[in-house]
Formats: sequence, C-alpha cells, structure tokens
Amino acid sequence: MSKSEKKIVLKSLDNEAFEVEKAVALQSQTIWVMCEDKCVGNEIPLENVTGQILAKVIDYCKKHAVVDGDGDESSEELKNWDTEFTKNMDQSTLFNMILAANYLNIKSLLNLTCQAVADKTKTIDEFHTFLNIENNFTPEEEAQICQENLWAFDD
Amino acid sequence: MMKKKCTEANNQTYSDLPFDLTLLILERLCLKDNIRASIVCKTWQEACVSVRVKEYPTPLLMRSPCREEYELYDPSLNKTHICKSSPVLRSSHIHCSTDGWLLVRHSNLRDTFFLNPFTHERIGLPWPDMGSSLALASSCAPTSNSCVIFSVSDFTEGSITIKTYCLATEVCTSFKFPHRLPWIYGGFEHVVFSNGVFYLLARRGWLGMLDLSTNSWDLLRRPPPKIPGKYYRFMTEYHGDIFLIYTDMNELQQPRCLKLNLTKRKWEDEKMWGGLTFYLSFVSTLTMKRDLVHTHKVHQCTGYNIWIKPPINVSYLFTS
Repeated sequence: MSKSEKKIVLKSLDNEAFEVEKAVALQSQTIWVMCEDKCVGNEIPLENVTGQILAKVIDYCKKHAVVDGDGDESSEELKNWDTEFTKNMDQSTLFNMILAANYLNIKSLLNLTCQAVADKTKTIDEFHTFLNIENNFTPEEEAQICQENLWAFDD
Repeated sequence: MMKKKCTEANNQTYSDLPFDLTLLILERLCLKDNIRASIVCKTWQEACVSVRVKEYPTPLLMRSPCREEYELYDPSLNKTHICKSSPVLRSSHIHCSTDGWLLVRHSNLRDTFFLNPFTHERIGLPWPDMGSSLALASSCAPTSNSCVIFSVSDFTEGSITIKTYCLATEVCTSFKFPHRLPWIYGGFEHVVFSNGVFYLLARRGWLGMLDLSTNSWDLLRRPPPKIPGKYYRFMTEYHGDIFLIYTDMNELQQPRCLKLNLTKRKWEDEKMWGGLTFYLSFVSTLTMKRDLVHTHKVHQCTGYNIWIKPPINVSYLFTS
C-alpha cells in the first residue's frame, strides 16, 4: 500500500481539510461505509460537522486508534484521557460533539459525550442553564410533578 | 457542496437534540435524576417517562380477571386494555401472583394450577390435597427450579399445619407447629415470600414465618399497633424487608407504612419510604423502587384486582 492510500482527507462543512491516517478515520462507521463503497476519492466531505468540532473528533480518534487493543494499564490511561477530554467542554461543544458522533457513527464517542452531558446535569438549576432549555411548564404543572415525586426533590 | 452557516452557539439548545439522542443521555441518569430531569421541559418529560417505562417496567393491574373480558391497566402509561380471559379462569379463584404467573384453584377445589394469563400456558400440580388450603402462595414462577408452594392446610387450637411442595423435586413436606395463640380463627390476610421466608399474616394480626432453608417456624404474636380510622391493610416485601401498608378506606388520610423489625420483634413506623412504590391489591402486592410516573390514582383497590408482572416483551399484548 502506498503512502497516499494510507492517508485520507476529511473536509468539514466550513471547508476545513484534515489529513489523517485511514486507521484513525475508519473508527467512524460512516466513513468506513463511504470508503467501502468507493463512492468517494481520498477526500471525504462531511457536511454536518464544522472544522472546530471535526478537529476534536479527530483528536479522539487518534488517541483511540493508538491505544486500542493494548493492555489494562493503557485502558486506564485512556479512561483518564477521555475524562479530561470532555471535562472542560461547554454545553455547545458537547451538543455538537453528540451530533457529530451520531452522524459519524462512532459509538464509543457517542457514549462518552452522552455520559458527559448526563454527568454535568445533576441539579435542576444546571439543567436549565447548562442545557439552555427553556422551561415550558406552567408553574402549576411543574409543582404537580414535584408533588407526585417529592422524594426525588427532597434535598 | 451544500454551504451552511454555522449555527450560533447561543441559539443551540438541547431541546433541539433529536429525540433518540435525548434518550441516550437520559438512559444514563439514575431514577432520581431522571425524575428531576423531567421538569426541564415537556419534551424532556416525555423522554424521561419513556426511559422509565423501559428501564423500570411497572406491574399491570388485572381488574376482575375471572370475567370473560377483563381490563388490564398499565399505570405507567395510564392506559387500559380490554383482554379476553382464559376460559379456565372463569370458574376459578386466584390465590397468588408471582413473576407473571397466577396460582389458581378451580372452584371444584380439586384442581390447583399455575396459569400464565398472557400466554395462557398452564402448569398443573400433582398434589390433590391443596383444595382445602386455608392460605396458598408460591415463592416464584413455576418455571423456576426453586419454586416452592406454601399451603396452610390446618389451623386448630394448639397447632398449625403447613405443607410445602417443591415443584422441581415433587416433594411434599408437612409440618405441624404447636402454638399458644388464643384460638379464635379469623382467617389469613396475606402470604408474602421474601428472601427464602414465607410470611403469613393472620387477620388477627399475628405473623408466622417459615424459613425454607432451615424449615424453621417463627411466630410474632405482637400485632401491629392499632391505627384509628377505617383502613385496608396490605403486606408487601422489598428486598427482604416486610411492610404493612394501611390505606384509608375513604382516602382522607395519607397511607401509613410499618416495617417489620425482627430484632425488636415488632412493627415500626416507616417514615422514609421515598422511592418505593407499592402496588397493592388483596390478592397480590408488588413493591418496586421507582416513582409514580402517572398522576392517576388507581381506585377500586378493594375489588378483585391483581397486580402482575408484565412479560418481558409486553408490547405485543396491546398491538391489537
């Protein structure tokens, strides 16, 4: 296999191009299928992912391509790396990472990002601010749900 | 190539997340956080409830299952379905509901059998002398190797006779335990199986306990404290703990809950029962760690209603 065949170019929706090892990119089932179909050349357009997010996805894939299949110690290290990876992401980045992981079909990244959102949304105040969701309950409706499930709101 | 402008970060909101991805996030929350997340917005409430229904299925309530057609009520969705009853049920009495199976006695008092009301599968029992049981219950589904049937076959002044039947080995064991209870036969209210022990609650308030591992019999004579007002009483279990639940007949008072303390040998008020939901009927009770996902009280708990664990794949029941 020549050097050029081992590399692949991913192009984001804002036309940013990333050259990566094929082994790195193929962690995405979506890209894998595209390559299998041979319907694309060496350059794969990803119309749903911005360059900023794609860079992060590639970071993740690079890390996991290197370490996957090694012993226990590295899996521990990988876990720590994952934690650090999502730790300081804001809600908007996480939101787009979830969409990207879903679109690119990278199961482990989707799990990681969903877990990160779940972990970050531990209290009600945070739910609304962190998730940027507008509460569309009437105060009566909200009070009723709380009243029916007092034990869950008792601290 | 399609050119899209990047969405402004500030306009993004998790309520725009596709529903299946919202579910992926919510599946990772514990039950308590799931409930708390349900007041975020209406979409999230819908998603939270659908996760709860899947992760923590509620029992179903069979209303008057011995009629030709009966109502099957799903409290998690607040839906009632009309089901055709199994013909054998129509002239029978249901004694107990365990793991989706009913323990049924035909009105001829000769046939006692297990019936799965969803598949109509029937498992007969080879012991003919259960017809005269004063109380009858089973430890688990008859398809399990550890299934034991408990039967009070006699209660007289000075002694109580209990028979156990092991389904797998077809062994019947009879025990005659002496007692010094004042002999006024008031009947038996509930039999509950928990952690290897059958608990037998008499109407007069005493509690008999048969430990299957040692075949030993224990009797708690001291009745639960008197509770003013008119109450229905139910016995139920959760992970080895035994509870008595008192519900006001007129629904004016909050239900009261007592927990069995075997070290002190008495029933104690249990204030912190948050998170436990009791599904109560006179024939069967089920207790689960979950919340009420519905706002509607199930009325007519006094009727001939039975809580039953749904089969794993419950959806097919309601498709027609």
